[in-house]
Amino acid sequence: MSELLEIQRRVAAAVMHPLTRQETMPRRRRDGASNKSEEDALIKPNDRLSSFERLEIYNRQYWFRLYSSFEEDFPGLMAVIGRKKFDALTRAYLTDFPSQSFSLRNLGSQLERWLLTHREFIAPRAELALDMIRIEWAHIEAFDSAADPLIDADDLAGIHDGSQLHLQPYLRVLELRYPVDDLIIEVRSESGSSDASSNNASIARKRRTVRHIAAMEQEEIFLAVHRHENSVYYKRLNREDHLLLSALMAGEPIGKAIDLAFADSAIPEEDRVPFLQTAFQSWSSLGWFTR
Amino acid sequence: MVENVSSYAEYHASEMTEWEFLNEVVERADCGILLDVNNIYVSSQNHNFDPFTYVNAVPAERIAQIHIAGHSRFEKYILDTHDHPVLEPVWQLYARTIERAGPTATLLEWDDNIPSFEEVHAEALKANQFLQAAAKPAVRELAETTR
Repeated sequence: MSELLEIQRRVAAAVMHPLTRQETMPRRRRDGASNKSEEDALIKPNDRLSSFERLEIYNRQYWFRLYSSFEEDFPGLMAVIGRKKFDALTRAYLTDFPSQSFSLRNLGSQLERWLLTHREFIAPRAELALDMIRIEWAHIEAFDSAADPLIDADDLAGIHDGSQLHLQPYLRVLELRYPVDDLIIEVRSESGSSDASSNNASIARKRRTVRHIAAMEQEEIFLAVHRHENSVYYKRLNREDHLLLSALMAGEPIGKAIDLAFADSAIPEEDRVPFLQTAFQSWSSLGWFTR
Repeated sequence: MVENVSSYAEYHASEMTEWEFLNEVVERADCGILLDVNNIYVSSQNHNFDPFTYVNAVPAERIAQIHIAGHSRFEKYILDTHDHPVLEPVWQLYARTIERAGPTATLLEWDDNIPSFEEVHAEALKANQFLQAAAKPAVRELAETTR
């Protein structure tokens, strides 16, 4: 290993090591190694700061950047569980799943999986919190996932029951137990008005959001999270829409996807063709079908 | 383009100054420089060097874009925070940079504690005074005396 690579790895280990509860760099690392002797070996002190203090600037700023990025990505989760629990959750999650990607947008990629085994961080509204992070993660995916070229008239002419229809990579469909689409819109609208956060109107809005969360009751909804002209939208779906889109996404041929969508459906046989026509027309106009 | 960083630590193993390193990289890569004059100022305060030495050392013909920004001063160091107006010493570095490189595309970085659009816009427009000064030889002398 070259000397440069060795230095880069040692500095990265120091910078990415979790902070103490007081948000300072720990004197000893989790493996018992002394941070101070490591920093003394790598970093020059100056007339104002020790080696330890100079590297601590990087260590703290690295974690503060992660915290703020995570908070920007999951404002709805913070609204549901509150600031104190959210801060504890952020530290615990990012310690277990530190950033591994070139992009901070991937910071929350393991959050749902992690929370399923760490429900203590989201109690007592665990199901509501899980639904919230599902929609917030879908929002991130819909915002910057790839867009494929649209299907054209020639492609459509060759489609039959056994064909597969491809959907945009940015499209996500969700089955949720709470109407969190309304709630996240309310929360984002509130955080967007943060420049007025000290005035009475803003305080009233925050109180309304808290009351809304406290009173929120279960209501099964199906949702498409998609992108149009660089903005993310939430579109409520019927149960059959959701089943059909999910089956198409799973690669089922059109005929089988339609059968799956109408299994146990309350929609009468005679209404199914117009239902499908309306659905496909709407999804096509939104640019969801790709080549 | 390669942008210079703001820094807070120096390594025992370092064998050259940051501007020497930057110059070596851009010469070997044959690429342009995005010169962040606030970063130069921040590093100069944290590492006790004259920021004009840095600005004067970079190859002017490679400066393709300039960044300006505000920073925060703490008790023992200053931090590149992008949350304040540009401070006077940074404007002076900016003036010297465009004096050497000529009028150059400039970006004001202000991405935290963002004030009204009017305030940010007015701050960005201040750069025009320096760009116009750089284009006029008579004013260039004035810029020289403010250093």
